[in-house]
Amino acid sequence: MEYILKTNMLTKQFKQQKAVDNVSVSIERGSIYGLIGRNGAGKTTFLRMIGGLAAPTSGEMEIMGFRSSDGTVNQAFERIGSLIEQPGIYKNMTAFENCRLKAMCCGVYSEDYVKAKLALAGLQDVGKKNVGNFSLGMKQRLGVAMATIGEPEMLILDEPINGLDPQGIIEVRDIIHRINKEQNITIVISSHILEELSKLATHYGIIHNGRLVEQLSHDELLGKCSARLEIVADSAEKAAKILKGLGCNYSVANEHMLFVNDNIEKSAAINKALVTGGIGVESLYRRSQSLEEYFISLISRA
Amino acid sequence: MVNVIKMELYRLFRTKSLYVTAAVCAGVIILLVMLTSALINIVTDVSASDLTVSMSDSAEGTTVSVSDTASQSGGTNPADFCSGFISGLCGIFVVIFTAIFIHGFYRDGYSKNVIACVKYRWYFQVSKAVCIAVYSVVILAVASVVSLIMSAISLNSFEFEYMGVFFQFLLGEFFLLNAIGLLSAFLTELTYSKVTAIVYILLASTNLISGMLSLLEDKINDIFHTQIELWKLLPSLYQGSFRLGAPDTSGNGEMLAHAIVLSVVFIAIYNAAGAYLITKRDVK
Repeated sequence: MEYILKTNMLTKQFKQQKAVDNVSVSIERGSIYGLIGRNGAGKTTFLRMIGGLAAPTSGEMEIMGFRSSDGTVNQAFERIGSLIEQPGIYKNMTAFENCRLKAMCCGVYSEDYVKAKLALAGLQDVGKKNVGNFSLGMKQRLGVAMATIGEPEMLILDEPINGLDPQGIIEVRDIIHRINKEQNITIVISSHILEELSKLATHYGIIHNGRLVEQLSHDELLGKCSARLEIVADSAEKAAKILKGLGCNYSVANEHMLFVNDNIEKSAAINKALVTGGIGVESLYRRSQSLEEYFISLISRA
Repeated sequence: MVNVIKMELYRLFRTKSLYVTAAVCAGVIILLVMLTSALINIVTDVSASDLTVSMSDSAEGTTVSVSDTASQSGGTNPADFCSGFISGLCGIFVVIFTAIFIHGFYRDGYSKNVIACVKYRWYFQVSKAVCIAVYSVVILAVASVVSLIMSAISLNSFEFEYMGVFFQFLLGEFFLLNAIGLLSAFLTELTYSKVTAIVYILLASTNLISGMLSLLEDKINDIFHTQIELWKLLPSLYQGSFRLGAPDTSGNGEMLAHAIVLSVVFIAIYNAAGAYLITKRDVK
């Protein structure tokens, strides 16, 4: 398993506040890593650091084998494309000219190359229209296209589907999929639209108040969001002992609520065992957890 | 670094401000030359110093004749005539354009796309300095061509033997404009605001700062019974470079040397300080 990015206790402090607090992530090459968090959680600040736009206060990064500890990490930033916050575009220039500027900076002077990037983003027919007259979706797509100029090995996209209509979201999602599959570019994408992220990402990092709360794969997340039994009992502690004796995979939510993640079809037997064991069961029902619910529950516990 | 320079030059020549400022500069010069030449012709017509009075006695009496000698005198030095328009006006446009151009790189967020793409961030300082130099050449070329043409049309006579002096003056002006542009760029990069740079430089160029210092020094001298001249605290090169009046056009090379030194100093300051800022600060 090859990691393209590893951070160790990465921190960014602004005066008295830590925007990113000792975040350690590992991102596999070729994956789509979804960074989830509320507004102000520290996603953008973290992405700016790994994109070379902000210097960390402390901690280390290793990107594509280049380390911040030995000062070589700048070489990795040249191989990263990014779309951080708003797309950085000259509004009085055309899409072609904006892309051409980035291409020239990367040492690419072929006009066909620029046209191919615009076609990738579905902007091949915009002609000489100034970017200032583009819709939000078109600007976002242009930003993604510009981020891919120079053939980066890793792409950082900060909330690229924010403010887009459903059609725009689908278009950007398709572009991201295509880039990842066809060119094997690793993508780090942040969003708080969790359902959309779940259609894209292969791995997730959940960040809250600057701290990484959890890191898991798509399959692990599905497992946690899949159907389970929710039990409300008079004593979760006593109920947990009985469930443990039954060999159930369970978790305790609070002093009265437990979740049983397997043996869901044996809900009747579980109920009987609890009642027989002297546990007062107030309710027992089967439910699936949405991504948002899982995220909220995780954040509330963090 | 060459790629970054090419990128910025590409942007320079696709910026509308370049052509707008050049057109406005040309228009203002045309107007000023027309006004000035009209005034010169009027003054020439009535100037007593250009009249020759002679008297002759004859049988009929004394005849007094007055003749206009202005047209018999030497022609107009283009350096003297055009310098007043070129110097201050080009300085203002260089300051304004530079502030807009530099500020646009950060205001539109394009800096985020490219700053991390290069090995050293100071490449961008060099590229901006190149663009400032190119713009200085462009605005100076427009101003000098327009003023020369208008002067040749408007004035009674125009001596082309002074063109060598004129080109030397233009060369000195180029270095001065370069220095002023770099200062404007540095202030813009420092504050991320084009307004700061424009206001500061324009105030400085109209001697308002030295004027305010002169007022202050009167008060200080009165209170402390001293004789100090605060304005002399301003570096002499600064004082000489940012006035709007016509610079030296005697062609003796002193102004050119002065201008070259100033330009080199500001190139060094801009690139060193700017490179430090762009490397150490987080990208906005």
